[in-house]
Amino acid sequence: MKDSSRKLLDKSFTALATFTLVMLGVCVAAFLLPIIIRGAGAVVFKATVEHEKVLCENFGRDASEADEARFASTNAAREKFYALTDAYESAAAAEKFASDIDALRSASTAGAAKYKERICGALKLKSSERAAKIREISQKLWSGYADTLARCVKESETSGGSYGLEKFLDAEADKLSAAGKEISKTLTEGSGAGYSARSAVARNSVHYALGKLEEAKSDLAETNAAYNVFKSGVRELLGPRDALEKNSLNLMRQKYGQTRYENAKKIFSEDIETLTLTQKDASGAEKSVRVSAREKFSGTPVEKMLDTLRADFDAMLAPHTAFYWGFFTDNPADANIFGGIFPMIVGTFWLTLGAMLVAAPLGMASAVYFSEYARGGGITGFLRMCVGTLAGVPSVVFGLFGLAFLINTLKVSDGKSVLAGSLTLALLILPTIIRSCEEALKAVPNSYREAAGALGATKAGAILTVVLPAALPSMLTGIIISMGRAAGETAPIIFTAATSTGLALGLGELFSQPTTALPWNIYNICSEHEMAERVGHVQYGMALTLTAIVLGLNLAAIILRMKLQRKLKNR
Amino acid sequence: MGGGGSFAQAFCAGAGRLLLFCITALPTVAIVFMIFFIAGEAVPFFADLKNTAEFFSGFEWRPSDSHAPHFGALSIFYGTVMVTLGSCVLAVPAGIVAAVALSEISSPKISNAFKPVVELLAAIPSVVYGFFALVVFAPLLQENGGVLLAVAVLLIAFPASVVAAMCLGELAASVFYKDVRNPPVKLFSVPIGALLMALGLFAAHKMLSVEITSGTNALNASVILAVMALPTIVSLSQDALGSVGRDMREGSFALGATRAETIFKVVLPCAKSGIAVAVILGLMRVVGETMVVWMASGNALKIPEPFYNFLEPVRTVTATIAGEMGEADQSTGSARYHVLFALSFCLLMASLIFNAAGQWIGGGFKLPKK
Repeated sequence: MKDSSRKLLDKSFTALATFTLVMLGVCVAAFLLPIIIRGAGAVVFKATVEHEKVLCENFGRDASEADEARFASTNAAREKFYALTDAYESAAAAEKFASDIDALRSASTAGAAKYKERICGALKLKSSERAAKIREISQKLWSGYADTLARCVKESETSGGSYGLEKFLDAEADKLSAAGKEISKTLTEGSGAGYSARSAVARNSVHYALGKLEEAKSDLAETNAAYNVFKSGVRELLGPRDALEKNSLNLMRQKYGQTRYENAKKIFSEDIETLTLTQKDASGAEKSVRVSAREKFSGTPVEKMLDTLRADFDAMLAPHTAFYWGFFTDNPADANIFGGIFPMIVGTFWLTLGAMLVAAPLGMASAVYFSEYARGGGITGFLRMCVGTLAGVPSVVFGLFGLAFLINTLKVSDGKSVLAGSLTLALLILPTIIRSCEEALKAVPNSYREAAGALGATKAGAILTVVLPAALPSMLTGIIISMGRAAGETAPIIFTAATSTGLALGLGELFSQPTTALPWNIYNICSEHEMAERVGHVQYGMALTLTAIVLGLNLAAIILRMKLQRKLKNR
Repeated sequence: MGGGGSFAQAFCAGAGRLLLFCITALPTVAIVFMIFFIAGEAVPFFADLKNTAEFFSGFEWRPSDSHAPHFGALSIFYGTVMVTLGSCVLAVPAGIVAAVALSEISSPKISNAFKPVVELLAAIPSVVYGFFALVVFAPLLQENGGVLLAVAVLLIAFPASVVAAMCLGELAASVFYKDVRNPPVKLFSVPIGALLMALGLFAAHKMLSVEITSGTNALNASVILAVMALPTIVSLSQDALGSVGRDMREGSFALGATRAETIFKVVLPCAKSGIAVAVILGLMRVVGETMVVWMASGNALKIPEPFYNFLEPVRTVTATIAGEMGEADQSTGSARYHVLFALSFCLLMASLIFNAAGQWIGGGFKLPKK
């Protein structure tokens, strides 16, 4: 090879290696940054007034003066909007038409006498022909009424009284059947018609009008369904309007509007400015379509509501930066949509503590045996190999072992419990602890042991008073790192300790009760939550909390180790 | 023992030693119990030979069907193999190169700075990796999959084509100009490099139009698992490289070798068994990993079409155990309960075999570094 190209090859290899390192750094950054940034959003975020409402009413916080001011100002701003909806929903528009429709109905009822002859004639026909005949006659009787109805609907749709009119038309159906009975009475009086003939007249004489009424109602229904979708979007955004409505709802998520400003904006653009409506296509199958609310309601009072909502958006929600430290100390409410992650943190703490209490002494004892007592040879080699093998067993197998052995065979508890989970975790981290403690013990210079022996200490005495204290800080690093591992493991606790919901456990419940724990609940809230988009901040917040706990422990261990190294260097 | 040991003292020392030995034997006992209990719960399944035959040869997995249960686990095994191979392809070269870079090339300052980074990467809990895969990476992959793939192809193709062009150029020059002292290497390496880069660009362009229907797929799981296996591979390989004596390197430099030649011809061959152990332990972490594959692989019970399509969801052994044991009746011995233990028995055996292989290659009983 030419020298120059050898050098070039060398340089390019160096470049490649550096590039790999840079990519490694990029990898770490790309991984941690989203979790840190969005995870912080669980605690520090732009909140709306609903956030304080939730806190004051459910988490025992007292409303500060600023909160009270916010409640008052947003309520005032909302009243303006609700005034618009009230006007739209009120019967005022319907009243305008009500007299017209009433008058025409009475006129038709009264005019029925004109058709007495013909209808009495029809009564003599066979029952099937009779109905058709009466219907045909009544069509003329009700034609004026039907025209007015159609006109009213059309007018109400453009001028915006459709919501009130629909309620009015609901009541109108009852009035029409009453009118039918009256007509039947006038027409069949004295004709000696039987019961069935009378009811046929009653039914069929208003049949045409009822049909027209249904048509009018379905005409209105489409507009009003769209308005209802709009209204439910508004309720999602602002929460129910008054205490009465609030108390009638079951779920906490229905009782409050959006607590986070970014979610509120999303709801506004996705559920209010664009509506999801169900439409029937040609074949009659229902499908949902997305339409722009502005186009759908253009020219009606709803458009003005949209404008008000957009203009007063901030006034109604009072966005402000909030620090929700309660995220770490509050219990979750309504499937984690509200509240914090306190029980999960406590559960993780108990599991880790339990695992450490079991594994640390055992691991240290084994390490002492390996480093101080074992003489090499077959048995020690075999024991060592088993430690290595145990370290390589997949964590999910530990979980199954905990289930089959600790719970189903030893019956340490009835079903899952913190105790079973801790023991499983202890077994999982035992090899790591043994290994790091052994390294720490081996780092203690032999002169320490010899000096202790020279002073007359027994071997056990030397280990207890000289070797262990000297190795302790360094052992601690290993133990802290294992602690981080125990805190973050999920698979072993799935079958032995973890449950999805529950409150923080007290000391007495640890031996019999399953617990929530950060790792399991992160999985749960990411994969099995029914409203993943509303708990995004909790997902990130939980992930950040767990990462912070584990990395914090590791960082502590790294710092401890660095201090030790410096101390050793200075010695 | 120290001076003046009475009988009582000697007895105490002996008893203490025995106690320590018993504690030390705990992992051994745990391994034996583990094999015993997992196998014990798997035996009722394996006892039925028809089921066992189907388990290793069938594709249909319906263990909870009360009328005609099926226990064909091949597609599940295939999912594990696929995800493992995928992450190996990514993690092994990257891990070894990174280890070489850290221990041979970069300055001690940078190496020391990267040590905690690698440790932190190893310390991050697997469920957080799974969270990242599911909540951050999967939507990204689904929406911008083509662009991501194209960038990845470019990132791999450019360095690879530069190095390959130089090597191939040398080779071609030495073949065509056998007796010339200074063969015109550029004549060959430039066109070859251009050709390879064009190929890379073409592949990247092809990738741009790829559309990924679901962000949770074998690729997602492989990438995240590769990142998880990296720390193990890097730190263990680094240890192996570090244990190669200084005199070897200095001898090589003295003979006029460049650094790259020293690394490839001296250091790596010396450290190859240690690196092999690192790779095996990294692989074990990938095979046994549960949360990431459960959350990121899509959990579809089928073999992708075509079989090498990494953009389709797969399901692995660990994810099946974790996902179905929650639903399976945990205390009573249903068929599903036992078949899941059969799966985990296979997993346990695989990990034992891997471990034995690692220890055999390592030539000693080293503990894996976590």
